[in-house]
Amino acid sequence: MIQLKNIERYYRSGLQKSWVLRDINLNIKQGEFLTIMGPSGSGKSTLLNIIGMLDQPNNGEYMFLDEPVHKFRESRLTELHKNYIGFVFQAYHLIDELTVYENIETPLLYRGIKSKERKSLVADVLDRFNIVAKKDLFPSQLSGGQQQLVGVARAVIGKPKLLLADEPTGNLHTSQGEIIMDLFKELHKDGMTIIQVTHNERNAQYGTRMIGLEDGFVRSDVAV
Amino acid sequence: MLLNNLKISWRRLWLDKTTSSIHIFSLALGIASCLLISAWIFQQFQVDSFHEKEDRLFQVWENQYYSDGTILSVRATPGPLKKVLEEEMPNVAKAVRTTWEIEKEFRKEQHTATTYGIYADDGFFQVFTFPLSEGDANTALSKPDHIVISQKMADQLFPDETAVGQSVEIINEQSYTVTGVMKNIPKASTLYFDYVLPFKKFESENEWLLGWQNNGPNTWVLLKKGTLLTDVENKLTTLIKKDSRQKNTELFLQSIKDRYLYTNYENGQYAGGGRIEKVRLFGVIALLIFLISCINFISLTTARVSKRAKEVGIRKVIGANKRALVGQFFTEAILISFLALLIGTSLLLFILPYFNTYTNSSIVISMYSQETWIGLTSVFLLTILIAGSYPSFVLSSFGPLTAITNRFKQKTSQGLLRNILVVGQFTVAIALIAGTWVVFQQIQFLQQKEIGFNQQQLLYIPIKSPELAQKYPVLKEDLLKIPSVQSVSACNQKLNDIRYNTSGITWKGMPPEEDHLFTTIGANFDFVKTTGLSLKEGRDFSIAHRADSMNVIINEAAAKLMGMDAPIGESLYFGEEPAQIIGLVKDFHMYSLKYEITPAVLYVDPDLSYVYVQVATDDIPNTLANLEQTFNSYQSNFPFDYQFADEKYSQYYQSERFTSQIAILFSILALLLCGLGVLGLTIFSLERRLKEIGIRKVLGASAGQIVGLFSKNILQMVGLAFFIATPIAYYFSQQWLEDFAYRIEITWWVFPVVGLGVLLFALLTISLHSLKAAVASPISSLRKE
Ligand SMILES: Nc1ncnc2c1ncn2[C@@H]1O[C@H](COP(=O)(O)OP(=O)(O)OP(=O)(O)O)[C@@H](O)[C@H]1O
Ligand SMILES: [Mg+2]
Repeated sequence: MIQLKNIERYYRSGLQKSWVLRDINLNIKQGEFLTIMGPSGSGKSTLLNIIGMLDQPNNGEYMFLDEPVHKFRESRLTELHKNYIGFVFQAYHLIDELTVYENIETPLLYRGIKSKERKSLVADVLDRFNIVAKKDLFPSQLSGGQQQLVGVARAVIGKPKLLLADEPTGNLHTSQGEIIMDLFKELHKDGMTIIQVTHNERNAQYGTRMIGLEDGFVRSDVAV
Repeated sequence: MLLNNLKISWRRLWLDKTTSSIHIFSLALGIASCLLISAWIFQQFQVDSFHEKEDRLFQVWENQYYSDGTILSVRATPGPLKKVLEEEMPNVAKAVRTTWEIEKEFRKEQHTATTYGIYADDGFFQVFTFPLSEGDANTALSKPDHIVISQKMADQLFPDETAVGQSVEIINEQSYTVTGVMKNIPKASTLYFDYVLPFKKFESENEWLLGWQNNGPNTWVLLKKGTLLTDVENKLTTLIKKDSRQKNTELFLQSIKDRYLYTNYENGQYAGGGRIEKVRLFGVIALLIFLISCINFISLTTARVSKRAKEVGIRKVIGANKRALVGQFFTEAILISFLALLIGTSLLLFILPYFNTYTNSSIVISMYSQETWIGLTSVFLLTILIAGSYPSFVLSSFGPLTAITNRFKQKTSQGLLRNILVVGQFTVAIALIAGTWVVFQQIQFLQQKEIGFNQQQLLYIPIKSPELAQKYPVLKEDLLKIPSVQSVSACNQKLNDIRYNTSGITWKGMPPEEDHLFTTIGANFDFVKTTGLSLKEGRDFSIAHRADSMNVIINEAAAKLMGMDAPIGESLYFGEEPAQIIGLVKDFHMYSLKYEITPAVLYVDPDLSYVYVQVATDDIPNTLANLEQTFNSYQSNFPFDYQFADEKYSQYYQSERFTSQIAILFSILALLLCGLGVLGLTIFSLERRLKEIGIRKVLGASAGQIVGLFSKNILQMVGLAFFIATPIAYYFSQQWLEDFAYRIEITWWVFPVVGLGVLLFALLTISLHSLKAAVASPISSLRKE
């Protein structure tokens, strides 16, 4: 599903290049549940963002579903991203002015899905995530765990092929975190490809494969 | 999608009430002033546009060439011109003469009416669109005893019956048969009259109209369809010069469409300007105000970009493309613009009556007229475009990552743009206020200028009955018996509205090839004394000197023109008639101060039009009552009328006063809008820097220092605006002043005073708000973070 070849990413600070990712080669198959681990500043988020097409590598090739992403222009990227990828953030990043229901519904709006279908899709997800009662509340009225549930719901409502999660449980208590991870497991069982970044060994156990990142290099790559 | 966008926009408005109200209120003010001025401009363009044949309808103008190089453009034309136009010009479908408006007194049994009207040729109602509600337009003026009256007059004279076919008497003249009733003249007409009499009648009573040498009536032509204007104009001049009908003149045509807005002729050329200049000026000012209000919107929106960047980022991550985001921001702009339009329009409708009273205008905004809706829609669309496009563009252009990861930094280019916009706002405000001040000073100057005679106590009383003119000496005796009447004289015109002139005056030693235009004033005994003119040498006209009917008084300009150092005793000639100069008066203003003082000759004229009365100022109402009583005993058929000379004088500056009133209004608006903008930006930057303020206070900063933190930027911006605004304001004020032959020098200190005032205003706005934060406990602001 995903082939990364010689991916490099650096930032220029003055005359110097400061490297974040160096020579990343990675194949990820459909249906994998990949965990990326590594010390802070090792480039995990950067890698995830590149895979999620929110960021572009300076060098290297990126094939997504056999399409050469590195050659695409922005509008095309937006299309791909919109149709195949869901994103979950550590800080939830819900839209404060929208209710739970509206937050979950928004991606569908951008996909141009008709109102009736939207309603039933959102209702399904609310039901599945057990947050029907919360649907008219605003993010500020929810606990962190509940917010992240909404975040995941929003990420998966469009049935993306790939779910990316950057420390999804980083701001949560253990028990809340477990709920999210169980959800991921379930989604994975249903066939979704998932890539998560985490500092937590226990969370890594939910996945099927784990890579270790250090100073921008892939140092380890093991099956779990 | 749209519904969703609307919902979010609405919620956002509610969430941030202060900013939203500043947004909406600024825009509303901008929209209101834009609409108001549009309505006024529209009204100006509507004038005379109701004539169905306006494309072919022209007025004949005449350029008169004088040997000293002056060219006078006048609308008065020779009487025989009409006939010649119709006979010798194949392109002229019809020519019509009209007189100036003449006041007459009408009577039908016990009903009377006093009103103004004109004499006009037969084809009048075919050429102009003044529809008759009764009677036949084709024959209405065909006989000398016909008359067409307005509906208003018909209601007065024939309250319960049809007017057509009845007779009506003009007092002191004869009876006429009503042959038509015309609908009341629309307000948007430069021609205004309540009755029309046949021109034939006028001609039979005024034989001078038969000669080519005298100019009097206006002449109008209706051209045949498809006629080229240049073709006609070329032939016109040949026509007037033919058979030495008139020598040093030229004819040209002015479309009735231009009659109101474009009538500024100088030296025989359309000199640009006229009313259209004011229309343009106000248009530009209104547009600037509108822009200022849109700038508020833009700068406040971009200032809040960092707040909204996160949302934009998230939306991009969950699939929004640029178009969707632009759509969302436009929805917001539309919602705000709509609310602003609603408030602005209501505000306008509420203010309009006050505005009309204050500026003495009559702007009507009807919610049922198509034009109003076109205007509203265009302003609405313009607002959306200006207010919506830049913010949408900026906000939707972020990469999703920068926005989400808090690496977002405001681009300096946006900060710069915002600063430029704010500087622009203040530039407009300062320039407007300074310009307004100059206009105001000039109007003060006009009103206070010594014009050379005593206007405050001088009354013009029109002589209406022909008999009274004969009885004038007795009337004068009677008037002088009234205690507060100090002096009485008479004249053929109003002294500050002199209309007569002649090129027929010569003097010894005048080069024979020259001719000069002299203003002529037909005065009477005690004229200098009554008017308060300042006699430099010689004496006043006096009944004691029988020969004074052959004597003249001249002004300094005339003495200078004739090169007379000691004019008393010298002679000048009206044609062949000699007249001795017995007095020299200091120059005085006979017209508006827009015009130079011209050489003037005063003579004793038996043809009286106005009695001049110099009264004491102590008890005006009583004096007027006494005057009325005396006049009524001489001309009981006519109502007593009067005008104070200074009233006439101040009428000249109505248009200037209107300009200054509008300018004051707009200056206030501009200042208010700048204030709102600054307020918005201050609120925003306070929000953003709350923590910084807290830390600074913990470190010991005083409230003053904190306020200073926010004021530095505005200080620089207003300073810059001042330097840009000053030359602009100076240039335009000077341009405006140049309309006046007599004008003030622009005083340099106006500009720094205005600059400082605006700065103070801005600082005050800032400190009012930032002081609150500055004196608040630092702990609270730190804890909030
Ligand atoms: N826009 C940027 N400009 C400059 N440097 C950046 C930028 N974005 C990331 N970096 C740098 O790249 C490096 C990797 O960042 P990244 O966020 O990928 O690390 P991470 O592994 O996710 O760390 P953490 O576990 O703390 O989230 C960091 O040193 C960071 O400072
Ligand atoms: Mg990270």
